[in-house]
Amino acid sequence: MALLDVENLKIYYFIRDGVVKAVDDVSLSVDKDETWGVVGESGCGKTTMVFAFMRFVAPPGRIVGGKIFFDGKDILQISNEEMRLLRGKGISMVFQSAQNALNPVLTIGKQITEVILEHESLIKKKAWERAKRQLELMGIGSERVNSYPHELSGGMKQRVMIAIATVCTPKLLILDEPVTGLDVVVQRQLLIFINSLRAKVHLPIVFITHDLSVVAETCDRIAVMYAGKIVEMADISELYKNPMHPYSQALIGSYPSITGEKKELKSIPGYPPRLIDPPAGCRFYPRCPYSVNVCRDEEPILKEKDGHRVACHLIK
Amino acid sequence: MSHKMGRAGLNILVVFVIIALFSPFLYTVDPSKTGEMENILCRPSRDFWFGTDDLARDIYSQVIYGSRVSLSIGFLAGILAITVGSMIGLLAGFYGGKTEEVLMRIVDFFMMLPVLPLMIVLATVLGRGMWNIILVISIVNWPTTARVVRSQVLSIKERAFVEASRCIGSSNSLLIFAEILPNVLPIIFAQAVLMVTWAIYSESVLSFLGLGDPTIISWGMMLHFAFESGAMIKAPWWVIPPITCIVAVILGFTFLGTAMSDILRPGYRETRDL
Repeated sequence: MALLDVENLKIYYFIRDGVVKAVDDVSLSVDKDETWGVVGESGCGKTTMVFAFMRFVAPPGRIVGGKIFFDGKDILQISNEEMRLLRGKGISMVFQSAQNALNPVLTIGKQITEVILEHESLIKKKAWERAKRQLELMGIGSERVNSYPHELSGGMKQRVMIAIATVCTPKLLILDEPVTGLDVVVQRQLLIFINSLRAKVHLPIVFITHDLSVVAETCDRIAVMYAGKIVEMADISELYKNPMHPYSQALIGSYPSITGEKKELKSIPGYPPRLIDPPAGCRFYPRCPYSVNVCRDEEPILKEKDGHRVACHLIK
Repeated sequence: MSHKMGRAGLNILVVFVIIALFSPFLYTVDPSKTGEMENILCRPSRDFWFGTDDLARDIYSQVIYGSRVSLSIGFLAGILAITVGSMIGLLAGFYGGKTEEVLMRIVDFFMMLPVLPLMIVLATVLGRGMWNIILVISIVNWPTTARVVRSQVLSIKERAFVEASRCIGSSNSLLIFAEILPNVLPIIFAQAVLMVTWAIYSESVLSFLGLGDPTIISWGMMLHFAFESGAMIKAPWWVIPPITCIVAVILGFTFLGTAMSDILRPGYRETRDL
C-alpha cells in the first residue's frame, strides 16, 4: 500500500458568489521512496490540495468528498488530537514564504526544540542538542541556535524551516513552493541541498511549485494540475520528453531551454477559468489549440498510456 | 545596551525600591508615633529633616515608610491586573468565536463602569484593608489590558508562523504561550508599566479621598491627613515630599516602560547603531 493515498478528493470553497471547486476529484498516490512534483499555475488548487493532506482546510473551504489515507489511516476520520500528533511526526510541511513562517521573537534553536518537545518525551537539554545536530545537517553552523530569524539570510531561513519540518523524522515531507521568492543562485543551492537531504534521509517529498525547472532537478514523478484537476501524471523524464496533455505541452513549451536550439517561447493564450463555473467538459478546452467538439461536452478521465496517465480526449 | 531614558527611569526606581526595602533602617523615629506638643508642625530642622505634621509625627520617616506601602500596593495591583488582563486577552483573541464574544462582553461591562465612583464604592463595600485596595485597583484596571492584548493577538495569530507551527503539530497551549505570547510581551510590558503607575496613582487617590487604610501610612494617606488638617498651605513641607515621591516614581515607571518596549523588540539593538 502506498504511503499516501488520495482518492477522489474534492475541496470546495463556499463563498457568497457560489461554490469554488478548488480541487475536484483528484487522486494521487505517493509511494515510500518517491518524490512527487505537483506543478500548475497559480490558483489551480495545488496548495489547497496539500493543505488537505494536513487536514488544514479552513472555512469557507470544505472537504466535500474523497478519502486520504496516510500510512493506512484515513486522516479525514481520525480525531483532532491524533491529527495534531501526525503533523510534524507523520506528515510535515514547509510553508510557502519561509520569510514569514518563522516566529520573529524566538531564536531558531527554541523553535526547533519546541517541535521536538511536542512530539517526543525528551529532556530539554537533549532536545537542544538534537536541534544543534539538525542545524548542522542543514549546513548551518550549530552556533546559530541562538540566532533570531532576522539575523539569517533568506536561504538560511528556508533551511531552518526544513530543519524544523524534518527534525522529528516525518514519513512524508511537503514542500510548498520552497524556492519561490529566492533569487536563482540561492534557489539552486537550496535544490542541491534538498537533493542531498533526500539521499541522506530517504524522505518522500511532495514538491509544490509553479516552476517546472525546479521539479526537473528534484522529482521522480510529476503531476500537472490545471483548474483543480490533475491532467497528467508521469515520470519526470517521460513528461519532459513526451508531454501528452496539451496543457503539459504548452507548459513545457513556455520554458526556455539552455542547450537546445533557440526558439520562440510560446505563452498559453487566455486565462485559467474561474473555478466558480468551470467550463463543462474538459476544463482546458477554451485555451486548447487541439480542442474538438467532444471536449466541450464530455469530461475526460485519466487514461493510462505509455506510462503516462492523461486526461485528454485526444489520447486514445 | 544604552537607552538613556530607560536608564534614568531605572535609576529612579532602584532608589525607591532600595528605600522601600530598607525602610526600617532608614527612618529615624516610628512614623506613626505622635510627638511632643511643642513639636507640632515644625519646619524642617536637624531633628526633623522634613518637619513634622499636626500630630508631631516625623514627615521624613512617614515618607520613607510610605514608599513601602505605595510601591507594594502598586506592584501587586499592577501585576494582578496585568496577569488577569493578559490571560483573558490571549484566550479571547486566540479562540475567537463564542469564547471571545463572552469574554469581551465582560470586558466591555467593566470598561463601561465609571472608574472613580466604582473604586470608591468597592473600597467602601469591601472595607479599608490593603488587600482590598489592591483588589479594587485590579478590578478597575484589567479590562484595558485585556483589550490591548486581544487586539494584538488577533493580528499575530494570522501570521504565517502560527500556521506553520500548527503544521508541525503544535498544540493550542503551545501556540498561545510559546508562539503568540512572546510576540505580545512588549505590549504587555508597556501595559504592565502603565498598570503599575496607574495603581500607585489610584492608591494615592483612594487614600487621599479617605478610602485607604488609615492605620497604614502611605503617600496618599499623608496627603489625606494634610488636607484634613487644613494645614496644606501653612505647612508646605508636609505635602511636598509625598507629592514629589509620587511624581518621581510614576515618571520612573514611564521612562522604563518606554525603554522596555523598545528593547524587547528583536532587532532593536542592531537598528539603533545605524
